[in-house]
Amino acid sequence: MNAASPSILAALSPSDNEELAQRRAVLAEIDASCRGPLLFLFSGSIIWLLVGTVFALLASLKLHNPEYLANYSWLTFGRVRPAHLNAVIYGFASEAAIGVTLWLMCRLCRTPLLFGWIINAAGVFWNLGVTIGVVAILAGDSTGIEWLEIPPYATPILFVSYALIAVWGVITFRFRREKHLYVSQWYLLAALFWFPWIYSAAQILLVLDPVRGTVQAAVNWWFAHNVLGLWFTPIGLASIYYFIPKVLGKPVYNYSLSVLGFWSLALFYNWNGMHHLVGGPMPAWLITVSIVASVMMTIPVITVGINHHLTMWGSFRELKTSPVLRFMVFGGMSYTLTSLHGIALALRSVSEVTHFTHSTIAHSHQGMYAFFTMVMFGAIYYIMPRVLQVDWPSARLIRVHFWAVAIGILLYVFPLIVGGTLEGMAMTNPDVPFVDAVKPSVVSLTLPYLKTRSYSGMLIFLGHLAFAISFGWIVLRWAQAGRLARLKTSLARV
Amino acid sequence: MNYGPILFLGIFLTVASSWCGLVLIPHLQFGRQQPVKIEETGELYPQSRPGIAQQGMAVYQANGCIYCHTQQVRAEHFGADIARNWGQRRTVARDYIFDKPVMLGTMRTGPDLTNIGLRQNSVTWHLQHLYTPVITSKGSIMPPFRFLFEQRKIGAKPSPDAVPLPKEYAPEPGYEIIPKAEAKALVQYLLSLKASAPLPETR
Amino acid sequence: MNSPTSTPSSSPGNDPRSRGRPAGVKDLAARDPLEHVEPGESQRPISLMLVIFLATLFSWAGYYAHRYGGGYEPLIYNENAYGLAAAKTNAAEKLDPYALGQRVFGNTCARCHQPDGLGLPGQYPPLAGSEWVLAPGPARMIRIVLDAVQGPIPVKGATFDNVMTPWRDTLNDEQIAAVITFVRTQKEWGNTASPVTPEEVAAIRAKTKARSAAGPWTVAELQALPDQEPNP
Repeated sequence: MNAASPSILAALSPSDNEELAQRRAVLAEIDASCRGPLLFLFSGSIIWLLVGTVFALLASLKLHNPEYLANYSWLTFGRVRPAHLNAVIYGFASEAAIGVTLWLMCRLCRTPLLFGWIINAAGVFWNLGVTIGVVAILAGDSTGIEWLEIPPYATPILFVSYALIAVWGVITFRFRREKHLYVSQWYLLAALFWFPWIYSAAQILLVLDPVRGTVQAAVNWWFAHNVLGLWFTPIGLASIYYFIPKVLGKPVYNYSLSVLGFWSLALFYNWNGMHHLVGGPMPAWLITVSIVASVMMTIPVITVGINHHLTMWGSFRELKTSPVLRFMVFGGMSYTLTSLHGIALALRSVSEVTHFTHSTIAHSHQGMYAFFTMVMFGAIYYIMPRVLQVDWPSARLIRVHFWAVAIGILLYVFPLIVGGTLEGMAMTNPDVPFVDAVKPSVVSLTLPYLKTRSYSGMLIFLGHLAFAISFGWIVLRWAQAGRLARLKTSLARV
Repeated sequence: MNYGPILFLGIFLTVASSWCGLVLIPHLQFGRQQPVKIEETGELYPQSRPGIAQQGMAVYQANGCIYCHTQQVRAEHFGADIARNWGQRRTVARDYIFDKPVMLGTMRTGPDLTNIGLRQNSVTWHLQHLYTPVITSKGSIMPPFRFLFEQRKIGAKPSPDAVPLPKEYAPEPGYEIIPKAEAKALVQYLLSLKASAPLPETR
Repeated sequence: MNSPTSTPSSSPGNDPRSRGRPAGVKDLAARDPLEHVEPGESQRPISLMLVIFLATLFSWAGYYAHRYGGGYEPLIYNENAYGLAAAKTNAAEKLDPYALGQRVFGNTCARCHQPDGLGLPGQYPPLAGSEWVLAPGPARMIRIVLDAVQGPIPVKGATFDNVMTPWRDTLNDEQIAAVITFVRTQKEWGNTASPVTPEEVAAIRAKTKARSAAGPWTVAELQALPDQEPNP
């Protein structure tokens, strides 16, 4: 807070203050109602984050050091990599997303979370499903379909658990006490509905009763791209839309742009998937349609970008004092960057070079990590103290977390985009050998960038450790505070 | 936008549009393709895989070969796939009608495998390469799949299945390296990967 | 975000309840006296620039979808093969035979015979200095590349018991002529035999068409052939 934007509390008259106090009481009630489910979901999410990061490091090391742990079938690159993906997508990111969604939904609807134990039960099943899935992948029971590797005996558990959560989110929405729908709520409602649609459609058409030939590839990439586009992106954007104005105490820059941004995303993002198949065995029209939709994504990206960045404009000084804002702004800027990069990658002339290279991997981490994961970190930093009514124990740990992951992901993404592009240029030049003992080859060219990635991965892992310690510590503090309070009441009775 | 039902209707219609456009219409349009008779040879193409190759496909799936190898050849004017001899023509939807799942892949950390059965048809080469890739491909970063082989004491006479290995990779004297059933099936699957029949739509 | 031990910042000091909290971590506290009310939106008009931008984007989308849509046909894979674009040809560049040979060698032969042409001892025979490669005429070598050869085969005093991969269906006459020329004239390996033309390859390909069904050549069959292909 600075002199130019005084606290709203101080600016209001005493009667307003009273009304404010009442609103606060409602918020406190909502926060308390979310405590159990959020504690469960965030704990699970952080455990998966650590597990997923270990898999990621293993996979990264193996790429430039193929003899490392090579004799264990469970740890071969082709199993560790999907284990990483499924652990972070369904374990970490989805659980964090569900937790943040429920809290935002309750706060924006001004409704406490009823029957939190249902969410807890769903959470138990979700974790069970992901655990069975990841173990099955390591044991060699993968379906062999990217983003859907979890075998069919684990997916129904995930689906039932998810249905329970989504229904609960929609019920909360249905019984909202606030008439005005804030922009975040549109995105959350949409994500809650979109995910089960794409997930069940993909399961049925690819695993249970597969369609014929390359229609499978169409369904596969329609799904895989929409996991990002229709599940993580809306929740990430909803969080930024909530937390930046919330922390700054400013309204969002422009309501009309919010509307335009939401509907253009809803309309175009879900048509993007086929740009993963440029040049592939698909009729030309199918790929062309997705390229057009990808370019049309400039509309939501620019409007949402204007809304986020111009809300932030003039308040950058607040970054010094607010860790939440730091994660959110990092995420918001990454969203703009990664989306514009993604639009470029979808074009035929660019894709000809970058497709099939590590530059795609860099891009997906820029979206999934530099944007979405950073936003989730920020949201968890805001939510936990309010839900537990205990402060974060150490600002230093949070600082270590932020800088380690921020530098780590930049060191991951940008060198790998460069390396991947060079790799693509070499690969499209038939006179460069693919692999060679001495001459420079497509493979030897990528090695320095793959090694850089392993270093960045270690830095990110360090950040995650700091986060996990912070989280464990605040939970411990809360448990101790609770015991102290119970002790006091029992002493008072005596 | 404060009216829930309208919001919900919009959310429903947008995702339904892409489901129709990218899933339903492709299924109706090219999801029922059949093999065709190739003029030059008079044979039907494509043919479904023999059983052992089908088992090899499961090994390919289980060990995540798809994360480094594609099975698609792009057109002559697009990239260097054909100049690199990964195929003589682009691949089209009909090439894949018997694949479940279709493993087109999205990464080329290793070379494309669409025509590996034509480009390298030696079982011994594939076994050596799977056992320790740098035997046959110096500079390769492919992980060794030694867990698909077993080391055995040589009996009365050496097994005909034993993989011939150069000295520096051979086991200690008196032992030999025998491929497990998975390795043999995987090689049969790799040898079955061919997409060279001149389909009319590839021109 | 200063460390918790540093002095409290002065700016949030107008609220007494924020004292004693570490400076610079204002949203990390449980009971945040500075927590703002739930966020809202400002109403502003949309700028004309944005409207013009949207219109441009939609026109481009229509053009691109029509130009590269392949007429929405299921069997049109080439995005340039329809309508306005059909006239555009994608003629492949004509390559110098030596460069083509080097490329084909690197992408096909080098997997076994190795990039240095020395092969793998006991596994794959060498091409550098090999009597099979350096024969005065290419008749045997063309046959070997087309339909492969079955070991055991003696090369440079060693015997190799392996079977080669046939290239009849995967390489065309031009490619085979180029790669054989490249191997026979590769000075770095000390190979200085004569070059081969695509016509020679085509002639032998036609002549041995029936033979190809019987599988790889045997060494005895090849040794029975003359060095030079007799003129038809």
